[in-house]
Amino acid sequence: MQQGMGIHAARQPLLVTARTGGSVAPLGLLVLLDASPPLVLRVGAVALAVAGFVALIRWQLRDQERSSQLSAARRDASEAAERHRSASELFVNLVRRSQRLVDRQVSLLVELEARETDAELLGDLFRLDHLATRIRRSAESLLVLAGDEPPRRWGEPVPLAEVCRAAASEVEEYQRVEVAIEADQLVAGHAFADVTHLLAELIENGTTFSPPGQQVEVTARGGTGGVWVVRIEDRGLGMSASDLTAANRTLAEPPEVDLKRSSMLGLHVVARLAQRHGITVELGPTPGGGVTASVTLPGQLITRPAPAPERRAAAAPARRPRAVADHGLRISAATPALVEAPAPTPPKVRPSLAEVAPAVLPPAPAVPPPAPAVPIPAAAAPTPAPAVPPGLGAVASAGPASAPPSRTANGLPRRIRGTHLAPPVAGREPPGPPTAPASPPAGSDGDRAEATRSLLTGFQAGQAAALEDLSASATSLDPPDVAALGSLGDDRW
Amino acid sequence: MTAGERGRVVPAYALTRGRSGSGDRALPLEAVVCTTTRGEAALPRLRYERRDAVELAATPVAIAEVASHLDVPLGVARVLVSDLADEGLLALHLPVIATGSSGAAEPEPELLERLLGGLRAV
Repeated sequence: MQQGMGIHAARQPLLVTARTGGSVAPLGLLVLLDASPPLVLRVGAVALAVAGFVALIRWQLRDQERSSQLSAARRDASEAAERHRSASELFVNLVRRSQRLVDRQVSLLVELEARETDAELLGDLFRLDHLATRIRRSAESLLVLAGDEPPRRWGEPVPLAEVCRAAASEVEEYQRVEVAIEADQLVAGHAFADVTHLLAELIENGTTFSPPGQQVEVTARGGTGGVWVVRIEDRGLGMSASDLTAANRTLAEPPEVDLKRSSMLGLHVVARLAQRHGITVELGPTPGGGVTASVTLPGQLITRPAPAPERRAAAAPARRPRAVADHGLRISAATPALVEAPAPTPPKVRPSLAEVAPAVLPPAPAVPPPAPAVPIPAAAAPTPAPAVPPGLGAVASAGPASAPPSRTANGLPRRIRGTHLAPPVAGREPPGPPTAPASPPAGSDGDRAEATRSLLTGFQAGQAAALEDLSASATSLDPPDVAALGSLGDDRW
Repeated sequence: MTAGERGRVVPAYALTRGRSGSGDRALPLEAVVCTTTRGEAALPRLRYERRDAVELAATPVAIAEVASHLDVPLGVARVLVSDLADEGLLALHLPVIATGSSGAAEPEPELLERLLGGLRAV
C-alpha cells in the first residue's frame, strides 16, 4: 500500500514533469514502465530535477528574450531621443545664427538712420528697423523655448522706463502703446534683454486683443520690499475667469511646451523668462473690460538711481555727447533747480528774457567771433556755481556783481561758458547804467580783464538797445513766449 | 548685442511713433528753437526726449544741435521740435539767411546791415 502510494506519489511528479518538461516526458514514461519502485522513485526525482532545470532554462531564455526586446526598444527610444536632441540643437544653432544676423542688421539700420536726413527715406528705414526688431524677438522666443541663454547682453543698468519703451517698440502696433513711467529706477543690465522680451510679449498680447483704436497703457509703481510692479493694461475683450486661471497657472508653473498647441507660445515664453529671473507675472481683469498683466520685478533686478544731480551730471554726457559745451553747462546748471525744486521754476522765466538774450548770439551763424569774446570777462564776475540751486532768478538779479571777483585772483579769468552771460545782463535788465556791474570787480582782475570788460560793456549796450527794440516790436505777439524767445526775433541786432 | 554696439535702448522709430518728418513744415537743420514760458511751465509733466528737448532749448539751439544732444536722427529731432512747437512749448525761428530774395543761399542786405550795426556797437 505504501509502495503503491509511493509509486503513485512518484508518478504524480513525473506526470507533472512530463507535462511541464515537454521533451523529458517520453523518457519519464519509459522509466516509469519498466523500473522497480525505488529506482522509479530515484529516476522520477532525477527526471523532476531535469524537468525543473529545463523549465528554468526555458523561463530564463524567455526572460532574456523579453529583456532583449525591452532593451532594443529602449535603445530605439534613446536613439530617437538622441536624434531629437541633435535636431533641436541644430535648430537652436540655426536660430541663434539668424538672431545674430538680425541683430547686426538692426545695428546697421541704426547707423543708417543716424546719417539719414531725408524724411521719406528715414521713414522707410524706420519700417525696416521695426520689422527687423520683431524678427529678432521671434527668434529670441524660439531660443527661450529651447532653454537657451539670453543672447543679448547689456552691461549697465537701464532705466525701467526705457526698458518698457524698448519692449513696446518690439510690438507690431507699437504706436498704440503708451508708456507712462516717471520712476527713474534702473533694471539690472544682465536682465535687460529678458525683461524687455517678457514685457514685449505681454504688450503684444494687449494690443492684439484690444480694438485698434484703444491704447495699451504701461505703468509702474514700487511695491514693498524693493519690488517694482509694471502693469500692462488693455481695454479689449478680456478673458473669461477660467481662461485667466489657466493662464495664471501656466505662468506660475510653466509646463513642458506642447508642440501641438502653438497658440499660447507667447505665454510659455513669458513663463520661462519669468522663471529665469524670479519675476512674477499675473493676469487679471481690467476694470471696465480687458486684461491687466502685473509684472512684479524682484528687488535684486532693480537698482536705485544715484541722487538726481549726480546722475544727471554723470549720465547725460555719456549717453548723448554734447556737441556744444556752452549749452551743456547751461543745462546742467539749470537742471538742479528744475529737478529739485519745481517751485523756483516760474520765477526763472522772467529773468530768462535777459538771460536768454545774449546767449542767442553765439549760435547765430553770422557772428561767431564775438561770441567767445563775450564770456571771458564776464566769467570774472559770475562763476558762482553754488549760487545756482536757490533759483536762477535769484542768481540773475543779485549774485554776480558782489561776491565772485576773488575767484579770479589767480590772474587768469576762470571761464565757464554760458553761465556768465546771464547775471551781468540780468542785473542790467531794468534800464540801469550799463557800467554798473563792470566797475567793482575791475581792479582785482588787472588790465586785460578791464579792457575786455569795457568791450563787453559796449556790446551789452548794443544788446540792451536791441532788446528794447524787440520788446517794443513784439508786444503784438503772445507776451510770455516772446519773453522767453529773447532776441531771436528780427530785431536782435 | 553689447552696450557699446547700440547706445540707445529705445529705437529711434519708437520716439516718434514711426514719423520721420515734420510734415508740411519745412525745418532746416539750422532753424533755432527755444523754450517758451509755457514750455517751462510744462516741464514737470513732460517725459523722455520731449522733456530733454525743452530743457535743452532753455538756451536757443539749432535743430541740428537738438538731434546731436539727444542722440537721435535729424528727422526725429524735427518731429520732436515740430510737435513741441505745435503745442506752444517751443518757439521756432527759421533762419533768415538761407532765404535770400533770389532763392540762393545769400543773406539779405538788410540783415547784413543790422549785423554791421551790431558790430559797430561793439
